[in-house]
Amino acid sequence: MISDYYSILSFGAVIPQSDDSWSLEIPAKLKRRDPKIWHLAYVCTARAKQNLGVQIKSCIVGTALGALNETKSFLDKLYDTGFGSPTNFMASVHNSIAGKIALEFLIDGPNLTVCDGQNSLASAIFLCESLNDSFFPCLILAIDEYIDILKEISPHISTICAESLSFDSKEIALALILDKNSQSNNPLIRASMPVYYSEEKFGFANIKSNIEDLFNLKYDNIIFCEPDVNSFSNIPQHVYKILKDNIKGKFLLPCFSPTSKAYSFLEIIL
Amino acid sequence: MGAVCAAGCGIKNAWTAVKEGKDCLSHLSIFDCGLKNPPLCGQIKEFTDNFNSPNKTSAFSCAAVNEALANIKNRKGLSFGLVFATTVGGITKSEIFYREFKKDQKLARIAEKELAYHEPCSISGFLCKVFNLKGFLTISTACSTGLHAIGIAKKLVEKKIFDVCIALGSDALSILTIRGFASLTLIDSSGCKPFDKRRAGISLGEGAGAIVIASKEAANKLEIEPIAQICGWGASADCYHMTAPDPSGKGAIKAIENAILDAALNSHYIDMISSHGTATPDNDSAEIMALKTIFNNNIPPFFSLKRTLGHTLAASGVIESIFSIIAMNSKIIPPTAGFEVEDDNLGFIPTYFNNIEIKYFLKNSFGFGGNNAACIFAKNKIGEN
Repeated sequence: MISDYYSILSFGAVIPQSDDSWSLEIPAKLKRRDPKIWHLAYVCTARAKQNLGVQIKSCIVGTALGALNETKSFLDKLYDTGFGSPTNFMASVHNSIAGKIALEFLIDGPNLTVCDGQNSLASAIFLCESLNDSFFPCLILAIDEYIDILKEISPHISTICAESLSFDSKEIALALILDKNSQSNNPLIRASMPVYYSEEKFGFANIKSNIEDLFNLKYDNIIFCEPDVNSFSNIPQHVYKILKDNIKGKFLLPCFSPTSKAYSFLEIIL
Repeated sequence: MGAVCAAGCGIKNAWTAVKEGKDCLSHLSIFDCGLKNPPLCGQIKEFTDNFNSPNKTSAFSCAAVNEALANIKNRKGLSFGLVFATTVGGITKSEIFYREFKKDQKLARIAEKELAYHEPCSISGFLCKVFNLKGFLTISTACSTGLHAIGIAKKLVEKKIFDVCIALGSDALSILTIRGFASLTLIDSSGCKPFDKRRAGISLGEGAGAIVIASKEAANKLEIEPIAQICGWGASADCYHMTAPDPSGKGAIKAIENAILDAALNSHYIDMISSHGTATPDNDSAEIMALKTIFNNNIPPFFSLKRTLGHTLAASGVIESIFSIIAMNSKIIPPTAGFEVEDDNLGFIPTYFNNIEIKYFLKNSFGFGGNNAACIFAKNKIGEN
């Protein structure tokens, strides 16, 4: 239940809370009509693609809640006026982000979207296992948006959701361009698929030992990263920081989704 | 295999309706969608949830998986996984909660009960608990999701990630989907008419389908005779428009070609096509354009089940594959309910056959975002040597 290693050809990210200028990179034709989550996806993909020099063949998006603001806007208009907006509905579909990126960057190979809560990035990388070699390089996007209603509702769903919203930095879009060849000098990444954890007691307390038990991992000299709950798609900030700061080592990044009660992990070698 | 749909709960009941080309649509009555004239839908009116499921999508899922696993009494230590396809997840409950929450924000206190299973993956976790499954992937690519789930499950078994993997598609009818498709004026108020000259849109449906996919070794160990083989899976993106298909069928062609390549076949082997056939003017036209290109204007017999089952969104790829497998094994090409008047612009009509040898068939599913999926299935033991 663990993928092969994939080499990271390039990466890009948008963290709106700490990056005021990201919206300047949105092309004018997309700026007026498209939802914010598409903008985030576009800009981080463009940043990852910059100077890459190869055509991306496939796209896999990992998102917990998709274009949540579009779903909310559709229902708001429907309940308030009796008519929902077709534009909101079309964008609210979970795979609208992947479809938009394919359209804008002309990625005509497999186009998949995986919705595994905070395991979504791990699932997206794991899903590369389903692609034939001809569909690499593959664009992996991890993306979720923050909307205010989450602050009102999420604390009532679980303490972990409440915790995640107490951070300042609540949303991030991360793009990784992965290749099959793991023999290169590029950073390497692999992931597991989410594994259901049947114990009644779960959470962050025993996450390292739970992951080692579930996946039968025996690691020496690995840098264990604390779970990053800042984003609904879980740990892309850790991944981004490791890659951006070029921190050498072998990292284990645990992921845990309280709603599906499942663990997964990411491993990065730099 | 297991299925729950408007044509019946359980494969045996539903197959009778499918093979007769029965129209199973009725005016939406299971909830108030707020439209003065509720549309014709493939709704499941009588259904008993035996699994204490948190929402309808989960309940349909459990029924389909339970039927699919019924023949496996002893798992003999094999690993079982899940690829779950859904578009709406738990929205049936959360859309009602949100409507009430807008009126009274104090309802946030009951959010845990009402929203805990909103996320699609929460249903995957629930299914793992109920059916003792080890790991899962939860995918959502609009109407093509179910067929992708079959393709991905096949790959996971081939790569020995699991010995056995369940491909499950499930979607319940919801206010969001009915009013959403209505807002796009994609619903035909008189019911869908696939490939018919008068076709004017879709009819939505609901249900779940589950296919248990195993390697040959795992099937032998479980002492189960396979029903069919999954030979190839193809996927592609149109890169054309967010909701309309490329009229040339370019994206669909690529997905079908990829499936044929994955199956190591050529198009001449295909004896039957289980089309996506949603009955929107653009979709049916683009699908026929793609088939003309793939089959060099010599399209094998094809049919659509959308008027019988309704368009069950993420479930459609799985449910329709199930009935197409049964059709193949029963030497039947089912009638296309709703089709009456030939469209000269298409140049091809769906056909109905009894007692016809089918070794391989193609199943198509296409979705919003220009998302395309195709799978090729074969009779059990065909091509083994």
